[in-house]
Amino acid sequence: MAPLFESHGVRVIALSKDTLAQARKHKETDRLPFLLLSDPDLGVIRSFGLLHEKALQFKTTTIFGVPLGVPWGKKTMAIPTTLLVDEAGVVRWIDQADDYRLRGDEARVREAVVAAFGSA
Amino acid sequence: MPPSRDRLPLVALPLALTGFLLVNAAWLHYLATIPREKVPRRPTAHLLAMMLGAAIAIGALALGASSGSLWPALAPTVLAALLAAFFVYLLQMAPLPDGAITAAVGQRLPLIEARGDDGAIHRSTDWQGGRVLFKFYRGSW
Repeated sequence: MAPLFESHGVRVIALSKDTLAQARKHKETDRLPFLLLSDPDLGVIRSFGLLHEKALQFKTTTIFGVPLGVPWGKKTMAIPTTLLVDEAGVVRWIDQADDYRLRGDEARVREAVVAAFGSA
Repeated sequence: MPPSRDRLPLVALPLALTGFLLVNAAWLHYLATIPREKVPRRPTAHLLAMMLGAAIAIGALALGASSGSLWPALAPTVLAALLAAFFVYLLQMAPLPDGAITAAVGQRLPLIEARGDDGAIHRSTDWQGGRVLFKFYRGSW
């Protein structure tokens, strides 16, 4: 998705309950090219009304060389949500996940970026 | 020649193990889709395979019990049933709460203030003048 964001001048920033150390590790392992914000006390997540209490957490464990996502306890975390914000600081699009098992849909993000900022 | 009645307990254990293995294979296949981000929206095949596996194991247990030997098939059957039940529980946990999001389309982004992986404090007010895709994510596993 990086070319789309670049051509539209969109900066990607992500926030989670992870501590700074966890966020740094995540950034390194997944080679994320964008800023990760850390909200370990859930202050921002709470203020946005996005708390998911006691959500099932998964951990990647490799068994016989196959990486598996294994259920691993419960934690309070953010409801996965994407906001597109324009130059004036106005929200142009909000997308909320309805099933934590599924990842965001690239096509929907592309559509939203083009709808908000034109096809550049 | 049909198996004689005293042979039935010998069939019960392998049958129960087959059911147990089927449940496990379906579980492992499902768990392997998670890191690949290929999780099916409706994992019907996984669910059916687990139900079938649990049913085979329970059938084997009943078969063993009816021929006077409950024990051999008990452990794999209980495990198969528990694993299948846990999958149903997992699916039932899948829908996310709607929450009560305070941001709204057409309105200003509420203030975000947090420390970034660069160690600095970042404020959403500093991002004005640029477009931002802001993601709330669940965090590391």
